[in-house]
Order: sequence, then C-alpha cells, then structure tokens
Amino acid sequence: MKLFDIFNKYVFPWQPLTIRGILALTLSILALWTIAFTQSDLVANIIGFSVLCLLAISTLAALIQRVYLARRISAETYFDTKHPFSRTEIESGIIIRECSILPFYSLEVRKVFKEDGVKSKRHLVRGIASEGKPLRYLLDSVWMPHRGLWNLEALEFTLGDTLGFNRLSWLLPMDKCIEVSAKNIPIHPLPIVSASVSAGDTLNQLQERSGDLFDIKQYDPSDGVKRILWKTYAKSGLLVVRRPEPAVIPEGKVAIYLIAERNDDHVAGAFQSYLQELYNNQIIVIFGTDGLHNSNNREHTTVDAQNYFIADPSKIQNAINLTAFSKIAGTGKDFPKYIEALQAKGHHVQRIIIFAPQRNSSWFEFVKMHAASYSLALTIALVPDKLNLFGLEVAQSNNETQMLTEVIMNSGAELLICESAEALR
Amino acid sequence: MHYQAPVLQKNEWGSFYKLQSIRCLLAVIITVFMSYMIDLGTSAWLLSTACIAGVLISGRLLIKQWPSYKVALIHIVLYAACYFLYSLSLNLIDSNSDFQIYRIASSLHLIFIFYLISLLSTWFFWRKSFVLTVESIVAGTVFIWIFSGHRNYNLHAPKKVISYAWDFGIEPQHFFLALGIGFILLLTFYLIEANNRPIFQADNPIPQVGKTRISLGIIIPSIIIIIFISYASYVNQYYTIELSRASEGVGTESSEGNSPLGFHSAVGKTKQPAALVRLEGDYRDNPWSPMLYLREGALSRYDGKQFVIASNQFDKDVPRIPTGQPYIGLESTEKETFRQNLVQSIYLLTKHQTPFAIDYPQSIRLIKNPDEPRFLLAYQAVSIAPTAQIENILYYEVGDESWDLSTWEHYLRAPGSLSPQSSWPSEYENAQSILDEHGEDLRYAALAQKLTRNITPPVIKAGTIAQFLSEESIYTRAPGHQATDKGDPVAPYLFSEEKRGYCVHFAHAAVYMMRLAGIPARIATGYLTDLSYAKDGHILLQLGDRHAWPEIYVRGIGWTVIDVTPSQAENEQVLVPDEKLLEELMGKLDPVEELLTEPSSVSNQSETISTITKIINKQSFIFALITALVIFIGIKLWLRFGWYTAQSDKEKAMRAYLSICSLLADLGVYRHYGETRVEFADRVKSLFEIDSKQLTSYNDKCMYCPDINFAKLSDINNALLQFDTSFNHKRPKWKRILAFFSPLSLTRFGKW
Repeated sequence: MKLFDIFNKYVFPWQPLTIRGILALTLSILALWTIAFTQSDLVANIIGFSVLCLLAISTLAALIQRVYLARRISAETYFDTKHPFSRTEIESGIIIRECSILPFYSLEVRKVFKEDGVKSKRHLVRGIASEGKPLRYLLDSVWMPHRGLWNLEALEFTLGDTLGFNRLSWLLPMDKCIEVSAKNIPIHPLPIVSASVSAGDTLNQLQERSGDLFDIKQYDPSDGVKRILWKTYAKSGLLVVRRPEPAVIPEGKVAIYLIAERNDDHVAGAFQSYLQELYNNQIIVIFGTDGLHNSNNREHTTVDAQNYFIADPSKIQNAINLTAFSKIAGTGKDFPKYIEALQAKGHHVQRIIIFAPQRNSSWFEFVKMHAASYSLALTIALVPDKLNLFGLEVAQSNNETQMLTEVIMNSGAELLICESAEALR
Repeated sequence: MHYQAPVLQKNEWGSFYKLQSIRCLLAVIITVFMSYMIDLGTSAWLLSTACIAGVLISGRLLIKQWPSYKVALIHIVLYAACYFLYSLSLNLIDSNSDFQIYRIASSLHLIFIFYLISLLSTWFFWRKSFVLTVESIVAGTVFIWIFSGHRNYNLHAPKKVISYAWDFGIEPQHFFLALGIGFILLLTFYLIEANNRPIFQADNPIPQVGKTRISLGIIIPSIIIIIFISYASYVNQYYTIELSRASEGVGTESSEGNSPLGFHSAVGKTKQPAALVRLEGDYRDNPWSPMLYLREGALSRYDGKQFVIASNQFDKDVPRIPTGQPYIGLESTEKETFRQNLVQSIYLLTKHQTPFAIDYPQSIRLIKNPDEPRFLLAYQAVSIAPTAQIENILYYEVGDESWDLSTWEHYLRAPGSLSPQSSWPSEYENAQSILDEHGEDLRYAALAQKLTRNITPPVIKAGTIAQFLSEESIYTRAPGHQATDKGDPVAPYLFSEEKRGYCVHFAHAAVYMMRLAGIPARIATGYLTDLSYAKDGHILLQLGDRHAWPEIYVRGIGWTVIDVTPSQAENEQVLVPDEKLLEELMGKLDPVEELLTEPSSVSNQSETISTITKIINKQSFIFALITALVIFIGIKLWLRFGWYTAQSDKEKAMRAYLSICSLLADLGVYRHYGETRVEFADRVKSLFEIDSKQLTSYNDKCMYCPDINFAKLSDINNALLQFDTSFNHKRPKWKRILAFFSPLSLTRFGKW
C-alpha cells in the first residue's frame, strides 16, 4: 500500500486510481474481454461495463474537481498558542475557503509537518459550505511528541470518491511554525546555587536549619547516609530523610547548563520549574544548552545566533524549545564554548548548575573534564525518569542510573536529585 | 504508549450500527440467493441466521476489544469440535447407516462455516480498510460465476433463472440483465456506505459535512442508472440478434427486404425452450418422418448478396402476421391427394415475431393460454400438411402454370442468372471468382450446369444438387470463413475444398443452383425437430432447432422441402429436449383447447395501443406503483424524522425545522413569498396557536452563523416537544395521520 502511494506521489502524481480502482478496472476489462464478449455472458457484460462506466465517470469528475479545487482553494491554519505543550492535545484549526465538493466525493485535509512524530487529525470534508459563508472551519488538535519549534510545511488535500476508486492528493504550502514547550514539572524546590560563591550567598541548610518533622521523604542514595532518620527507621523500618527546605534568597547570578535531548522533556520540564523558582526569587540566570549556536528555525525565534548563552529571561524558554531538534542536544558538546563565552563576556562564574537526565551518563566525563580545566565547580541536578509524567519513551537503565549517581558523588561535584513536588503530598 | 486512538469516536457509532445492519441484510440476501441457486443442503434461513450471528458477534467482540488471537483461538476450538462431530457422523453412517445423524451434522458443519465466514469477514472489515475491496471483488466474481451457465446463449442452463423468468413473464435475457444491474447498484450502494467507515483502533478522519447539493446528488445517480439501462437495452438488442447464431444462424427477422439468417460462426447451440407443439391429429404420412418441418417464413428475393424476405406479391402461403393475430389463408390450389389437414396447438415459450406451423397454415386462431406466465401466447393452426413422398413426385413439373413472367423471374433469380446461359463457363477454379457484367459470380451457374447436365426432370435435378451438397459438405457451426470482397457469403463455403458451413450456407447454395438449373426455389425458415423425442404428440421445440432449408415449387403439390443433410459433421451437438420440462409443460395443458371468443381483442387494437399495453402490463404497473409508494413514504419519513439521524446538533436543529415545516406544509400552511421565517413562525402562532418560534430561531442561527453552536441536543428536543404539544393539542389525530400521506410537502421541497 505504501509503495503504491509512493509511486503515485513521486512517479505519477496525476494517476488518480487507487488500488481498488486499478483492481476494478482490471476485473472489468477481464470480465468484458475474456468473458462477456467472447462467451456472451450477459451478467459479466453488465457488471464489467457498469464498473468501467463508474470508473470513467468518477475519474473524470475527480480530475476536473482536482484542477478546480487546486486553483480555487485557500487555507489558513491556527494553533492554540496559550498552551502549546508537548504530549498534550494542542487545539488547532484550519480555515478553508472556496471548498465545494461534489456529491459522492470527499476531501481529506491533513497537516504536514516538516518534522516527524506529530500526530495530526485528518478531516473529511463533504458537500458545500453554507450559502453566503464560504469559509469552513475544521477544528482539531495536534499532538507533539516533544518540545521544539515545529514547522507546518503544507496542508495535504486528498480528493476521493465515495466508491474508493480515485484518490488525488496535492499540497498547499504553508509556512507556519508552532513553538511547543515541555510542560513544567513541579519539583521540590532545589537550593539556589549561585554562580559566584561569596560569603552569605548560600546557607547550609543541612546543618543550620531543621525542617518540619513531617517534611520527610523516602531515602535516595543521593541524600547521603548522614541525613537518614535512624530513629524513624528503627520504629518503622522505612529509610526516610528530612527534606531540605528552600534557601534564603541569595543575591547574584545562577549559571545553568541544560543537557537534554529532544525526548528529555521531563528534564526540560523540571528545569523550567527551577527556572520559575529562580525568577520568583529575582535571580539572574545565565543559560546555556547544546545546539544553541547552530540551531535551525532562526527565522522563527528571537534567540541570537552568535551567543552560546542567554541571559535574557524572555528568550530562555524560546532557546529550550529551539535547541530540541539540534543534533548535539543532550551531549554536552557545547559546554566548553558556553564557559568560554561566559568568560569572554566577563561573567565570572565559579559554579555551574547542570540539569541532565539521570539515565544518561555519556556527557558527564566530557563536562567534568572541561569544568575542571576552567576550575569550575559543578552542581549537577539529575532528573530521574520517574519524573517522566508524560509517558515519555526513554530507555530505562537502572545500572547506568546507579552508576552515574555514584560517579558524580565520587567526582566531588554536588549532586541534586529532582523530586516531584506531587510525590511529596 | 500514551497516545492511542479510542475504539471509535462518539460520532462514528451511528455509522457502525448502520453498516452492521446493512451487512446483516446483505448476508441474508446473499445466503437466500445462493440457496436458491445452488442446493446447499440445509435451510436458507438457518444459514442466514448463522451469518447474522457472525456479523453481530464479531461486532460485539470488536467493541469489547478482544484481541485477534483470542478470537481465532476460540473459533479454531469451536470449529475443531464441529468438525469432530461431522467426522463422527460420517463414521456412524458407515456403521449404522443412520443418515439422519449425518444430515444434522452436515447441516451443523455448513451452518458453522457460514457463521465463521461471516464472523471473519466482519472482523477484518472493521479493522482493515482493504477488506472492502476484497469483499467487493469476491462478490462480483462469485456472482458472475453463479450465472456462468448461461454463457454462449445457453439461457436455459441456470434452470432456476428460466423458471423465474417464466414466472415473472419476462424474457430470460432480461432477467440476467436486470440481475446484473441490480447487483451493481447494490454493490455501489454498499461501497458508498462502507468506504468511509470508521476503522477500529485507527485514527479516523473527522467528518465535516457541508450542505449537500440534493439536486446534483439525485441527478448524478439518475444519469448513471440511465446509462446502465441504456447499455442493457443495447446489449439486449445485440444479444437478441446474436441469439440467432446459437439458433443455427436463423433469427426471427420478418420484415420485407431483410434476412433473418446469419452467416457468421454460430458459437453455441442453445437448448432454450422456444415452444410446445401439440399435434391434434395423426400425421402418419409425414414424408420426412421422423423429422418435422415447421415453417415460419420464406426468403425468395435475391438482393445481390443473399436471399431476403420478398414483398407480399410473392410467398403468399406464408402468413405475414405478428403473433397474437388470427389468420385465414388463401384457398389451396394444390392437389389434396398429396396433403392432409392437420391441427396443431402451439404454445410459445419465447418471443416470436411471426407464427409458425407445419407447411401451409390455412388458419391460425388464438386459444386460451393455459398458464399465463409460463406460455407467452397460444394459438391453433390448421395446416394442409404434405404427404407426398419424394419418390412419387420425381417426374413432376415445377413452377405454377398461373405464374406470370415476373413471378418466374423472381423465383429463378440467382447469382449469374441475368447472364445468358451461353456465357456460363464450363471450367472454373474454386479459388477464383468469375464475374459477369453485373458483378455476379458465374461459378454457381457453372457448378449447377455441371451437376445437372444430363438430367431432365427438374425434381431429380434439385435432388441431385441437394445430394451433392449433402455428400460434399461438412456441417459445422464454426465455418471459419468470411464473405468475399463483393460481399458474397456463400461462395467461400461452396467453392472451398472442405465446404464447411451450416444450414444457412447449404440452403443458399442449394437454392442458387436449383434456380440456375431452372427450378423455382426459395429458402424456408422455421423449426426442424425430431419426432423421436415427442411424447404423446407433444413436441418441445428449442431455439437450437431453428433451421433454414431449400424448397422447390412442384406443380400441383406446392412448395416442397428438398433439404441438404450433410453426412459429415463437426462438433455436432444433438439437442435432446428436456423430458422433465416437457412433462411439466404437458401437465399445464388442457385436454381440449378453448378457443378465445374475442380474438379481436388483440387484432383490432392498433399497434400503438398494443405496444403500450405490453409495456404497462399489470405486473409492471403494480411494481411501479409500489416503487413510487415506497419512495414517497421514504421521502416523507426522511422529512419528518430525518433529524434523528443528523450527526451534529446543528444539523439536527436544521432538520428539526425541516420536519415541522413539512408537517405544516402537509396541512397547507406555507411560507409566503418574501416572508421571513420569523414572520412565518409568528403567523403560524397567531393563526393556529402552534409554537415554532424556538426551532425557527435555531434554524436561522445555524443557517446564518454556521460556525457557532447555538443549540444543544436537549434544547432542540425541548423545542420539538414544545411544537409537538401545541400542534397535537390543536389538530385531531386523524388529521395528523392523513397529513402524513399528503403530497403537499413534496411540492414545497427546498422552499422551507
């Protein structure tokens, strides 16, 4: 079936017959020439001719309609720009003008995106628009598998008859881009780690503050053995730790580097929550990520192509989405250039927070090496896969996860594990 | 996976149930149809029930989201159990001869197979879009295969069909054509309904139905149906002519200047019953016994290429009347010693343009048709049948003394007869035609001269020519030769080495040579049947018995058969009449035929009225009436209750408005020209106290602001309830019932 469609699309786009049409044509010719005419079969004669006649009429009408519609039809598309989140149904619509379809025909309308993975509904349009109202509104929703800047390349129109004998497709080019963000994942507030360490910037909450008795969570290896509430363990047999409370607002900047490939929407989501927390606390964020410098879709974004980092809060979200389709996204390859750019621009950074998925460790050695070369301290916020609330299809590897946690802890970098705020309730 | 299409969307369930119903209906139609055509060995209704169960259970399992493997596993187990039972019964029948058990098991097995086919096809139908293509192609192929028996003009072969054709009083070929058209219309309807069906577990498109162009929607299928019917008429016309090829090349043409004979290859030999003949007297002295010639027409005018039907001036013995008319022949001038009166009752089973009878019919009278649908027409002919044996008339003169010169010239006209005898060549080669100054082939004359050179008695001359052709010719229905460049279809037969042909070729060649030998001759057409297959004087004629033979005019005796009977035959098929059918038809005849008291009822009517009466007969009138009534009720139901089937609330609101408007229109309340709908609603309210304002408002909003949903289903229902309450309150029940049958709303169609 697909081969046939490819043949029709690229080799002979004006060939209107479907497989059913071709089979019907073959059978009608066989019925007429091998049975009806040579053996005087009345039934075969009538059936063969009738099918041939139906095919001829429907094909002719389809071709005429195809020419007419392709010349007359125009369309606009729109998307719900208020809530364009990945892995959710994003409301969208198509407005078509001059779309009158003959009885016994239907027009299938479908959005064609440049990038793969979008699930978009098809519309089956029949009849004519109401008199005096030439517009037809086709409401639906699209579903993007991950964040990014998605390009609507064209609208595909497919004209077919209700007998299923003919099918003619053509594209109406569209130049529309929809920016889809990862949905924020509410995480338990992380400590705000300033980029430049100076006295009073941070408070050691682990030592100086004691949380509420009930502000506890299940033990995780990244919590450290010292934080385990042994008395509780003795009573209940559960390993629990006291949750650190949010830090007192420090002054200064926070340098964050995001390592997330296109499917790591949970990392981006957790990072966005953290970002929100920082903004709420009026912290300046110097953001960097892989592929920021060389991303496509420049015409649809305000992100400056010359920079390896962004300090403008209004552009960071844009940059997170823009870089999703970068080939180096999630590799940490741009990390050295990020540091260089920071230094070139006079940002004195001593500590960088790195947001990364917990399951992937391939970036760590590279990042650690370059951080060491610039004498930078790293705070690594790992986003575990269990925060993948949207059912992201990511490879799960417990061994690798365990290994990465241990490696980070052994390397001297500060390790933070993002916890879902929902899970604490 | 997070994103998964649901089983079916809310708006797709309507389509699902509708198609399930159609599939059930089709399953019943196909099964009952198959049972009637092929003996399946069990009740058609049990099989239909199994099919319906298959469709419904399959649908239920799909809704329950059963996986395919589970369905397959359960049915394999069930089938195995069923097959085990079947096998067990086979063993039982061997040991105990308990046929009843075998029959039950066999029926159960068949029922289960039908159920299984129905279940599997429905299962895949709702899961794979290509299944519809497969189903349609299989259905088409099976349909053609079921009726394949009628190929090559063997219309009698599917016996059920010819039986039904008789029952309905229509020609068998019309029955086949109607079946073909019926099937293709049903298939088209099914394809239209099923093509855009929702597929389970797939992303089905969202339908967006705009305003339908009702006029175009009616015109397009109407044009298509007209094309189908026109083509069927053309095929019928062509087929009827070509049927003569299967009737030994002897068609039924009876108009002057034309010939019913065909020189093409006769591909088949049909056993289609043509008529039942009952000899009312003894015909012991039949000179051609056991064969019997029944003459229908005669061809005596040579048109330069072949013999055609001459004008009324000649062949006066042939009754040139359409069937269904009485006839009184001219008084015979021939010696009655060589003839006897013979009465025959003839019951036509297929359409004949002219009546036929043994030799000279003196009178033809219509008799009561004993079985209206089975027999098209019945008549009784009184013939002066010949009794003269050929040996007794060998030395008789030919031609009639009373004939004038033009009659002699007419009956002696043949290729080359215009040239003087002295110019006829004595030597010739078969392969090369020798043309005279008129462009006519002189080889016929040369051959006739050669064959009859030393013979004087004309009857012996004729016999010699017939004998020559009988000895030299090969009878075949596929002669494999074409007419010459000059359009002569006989020369390629006569002047070839093998002399391959059939009665049409033999008769032409014989009459040509007889005439060139000075013997008045002509070709007679009709039936030649073998009395050996007769039963108690009843003969079943078949279309394959049609024949053309040469006749010469023997003085004092009249037109006498001198037939060519080739000794060699190729692929000859002996037509043995269907004995059962003969007995069945005999059973329908009355012992004594009742003459119609008013034969003028047919003859006195003008041809136009007769044609109209034929077209508008009782059955077709009732059928047309019922069809019109069904269409009428269908439209009325759609108008009144069509809003139930609307897919969207908006459409529902508009159709509900249509419903109340049609209801009001049936009572004679219309919207005036220039009156807005709101004004109309006000007028209705003020005049009849019927409240239609709410629905009018919904309708207007839906029409002029189609993009916004104004009304929900519950609102529309409330508005309709409001209307119904006020309407029912104001109008008595009998008026409301009568209003349904009022055609007034149809006259306002599209003007709501």
